[in-house]
Amino acid sequence: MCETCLRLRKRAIDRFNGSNKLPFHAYLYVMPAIHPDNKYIEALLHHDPALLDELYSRYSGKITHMVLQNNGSEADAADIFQEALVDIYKKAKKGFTLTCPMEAFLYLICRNRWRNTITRKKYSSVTFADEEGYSNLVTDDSFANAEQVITHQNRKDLIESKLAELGESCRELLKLSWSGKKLEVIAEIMKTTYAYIRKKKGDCTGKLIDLIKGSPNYTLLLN
Amino acid sequence: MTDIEQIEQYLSGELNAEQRQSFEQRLHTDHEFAETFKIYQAIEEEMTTDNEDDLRNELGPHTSKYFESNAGAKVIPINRKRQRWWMYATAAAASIVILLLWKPWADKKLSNEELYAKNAVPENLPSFVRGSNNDSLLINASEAFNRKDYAAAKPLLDSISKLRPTEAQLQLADGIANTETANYNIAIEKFDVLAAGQSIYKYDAMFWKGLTFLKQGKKDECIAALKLIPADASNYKKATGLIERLGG
Repeated sequence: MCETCLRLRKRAIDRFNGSNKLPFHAYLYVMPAIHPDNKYIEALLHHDPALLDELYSRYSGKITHMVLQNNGSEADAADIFQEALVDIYKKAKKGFTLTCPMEAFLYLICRNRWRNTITRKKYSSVTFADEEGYSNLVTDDSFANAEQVITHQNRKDLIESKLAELGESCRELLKLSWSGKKLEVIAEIMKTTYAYIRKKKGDCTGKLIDLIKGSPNYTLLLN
Repeated sequence: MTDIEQIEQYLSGELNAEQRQSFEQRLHTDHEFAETFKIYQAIEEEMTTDNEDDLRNELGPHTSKYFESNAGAKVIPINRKRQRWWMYATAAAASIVILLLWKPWADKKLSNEELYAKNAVPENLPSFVRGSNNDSLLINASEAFNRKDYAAAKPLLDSISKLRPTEAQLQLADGIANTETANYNIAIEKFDVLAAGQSIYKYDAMFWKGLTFLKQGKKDECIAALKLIPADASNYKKATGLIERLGG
């Protein structure tokens, strides 16, 4: 059972006086409601410039502070913030809705992204200073919400770290293919034949999978 | 046939009923193969881009506004008690000297080349697009463009704009790089496509089309192109200012 489901189950058990035999409707009492800040998720989905501006205006400063406190620059913060929004957007396209305040949710996602970045860059100090004032904001709900995006971030980070070990031509070919371009079009861009591209794509994917399997945390991709 | 080829054929529905059955049977019995299959699916799920670059384009201006512009903005407090009348007098005298030397009213005498140089100030490409496709190409192109090394930026932007035909900011930058390297026809073609579209760079493209004519000394064509920029465009004042300087 997923961590969020376990947490919901525990909450339901607590509410129903510790009974392990829960009636079907028990979960309805503990299912969290959509939070008003879900408007920002909608803004990402529907490209609403006014709300996106509000989102940046309210939260960009806090994320910048967190990154600057942890060996990062403002350019890093911009990168982390924007890519966190892209991660959230990808999840939202699959039906994710926000059931906690945006601030803690976004903080957890940006923190995870920046942690992965500093670990990857092997900075001398990887001790992470958490922001003061977030201990009250970060609740079970925000963890549960953020976890859904963080799982994908970690899976993607693992794939990207192994992709970086492939040769330039493999990287270019795979990225073109993931961008939704048909193999015929890629063959044209890379000035070669369809048959060659198809075979090469298979070889590159095979190499990438072998590299991933050699990583200690490859099981992230098996769930 | 390799495992990957089999997986690709299975997922694209190219296997017949018998082959499918044998494939699914193998998934149950061959643990190594089942892991390869799961990792293949995970890669496709995580790496397939889903209009993300459109979103990045959408977010770019907000990111620039809230991160880059704030970087150098420092508030310097003024201690009012320490102000003296002579500070104002000195400032006023200095302003007069600067105005006399600078002669901003003498702009009408600027040559076409000088007017072009004064107005051809492109917005920097964002340097924070890591994580999207074709990273190294894009980063190299952005860096060359931002340091105004258009000869280096042009071939990179030419390639990347073909790969990303829907990204207006890159198309505009490619147009500018072509103008700067005197490939005027290609540049104008690019600006025309943007001007006919609905992106936020539509009016920038119209302005740059005017500048492209100006750079070639085609004053009338420049004025005609700039006059197409409507009054509600953010660069309307800049365009009318330039038309005025050109005597249009």
